[in-house]
Amino acid sequence: MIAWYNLLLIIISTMIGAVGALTLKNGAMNMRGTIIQKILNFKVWLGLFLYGLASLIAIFVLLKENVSLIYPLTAMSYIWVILLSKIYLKENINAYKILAIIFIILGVTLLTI
Amino acid sequence: MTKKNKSTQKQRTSLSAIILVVICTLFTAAGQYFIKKGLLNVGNFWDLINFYLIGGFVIYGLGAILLIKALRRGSLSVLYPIIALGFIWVALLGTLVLGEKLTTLNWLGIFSIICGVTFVGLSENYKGDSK
Repeated sequence: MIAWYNLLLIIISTMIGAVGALTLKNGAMNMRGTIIQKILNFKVWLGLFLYGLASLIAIFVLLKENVSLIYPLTAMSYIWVILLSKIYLKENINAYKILAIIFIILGVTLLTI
Repeated sequence: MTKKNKSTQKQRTSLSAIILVVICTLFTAAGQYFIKKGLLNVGNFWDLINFYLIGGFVIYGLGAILLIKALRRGSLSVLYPIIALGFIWVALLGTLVLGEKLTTLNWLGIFSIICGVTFVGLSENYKGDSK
């Protein structure tokens, strides 16, 4: 059984990763100007940083808990990303996207057991 | 006013964006493999400067650039779930390179992830998607 604080850490990590993806998307959409300005885009770097931070937390938890418990939990980030896309980017949630997440989480679970 | 319209405008995901994310997941999986290989025989600080580790980070960085390029051409809720393909590449690398065995359930998992990514691809053409 997974310790409650590790469960909490992994949930927080998936949320940070999802916010990172949203920030990266925002940054990517706002890249303009010269190549230097594009490379120095703050939101892109912030998004990549959050992504990296989420991975570090997940690796930290993986060191202490079973892979087959943690990997399926990391797939929660797909749920957060679809919710954040709906709220902040006004993207649709439809039956296909919900089915997609269910199949992906099931797949990751089966792949790591 | 125009700015607000632009930001709420529905953006269709181009096929090129989907292909870019798929290539990105291949890069990330390869990068992970190289980084892991590069970390294997590290004894002191200078061992960190080795072909596999640096190569791994370069491949990782290229993957990030592809992802950014893709995100400029499509919706996040379509492109992000495709990253799950990475799980498949890592599992296949494990079998092909490290000789790890995949069970029947593992193969079902791979099939299930492929179904999931297919669904997310179909979601763009779904009738309820526009407006």
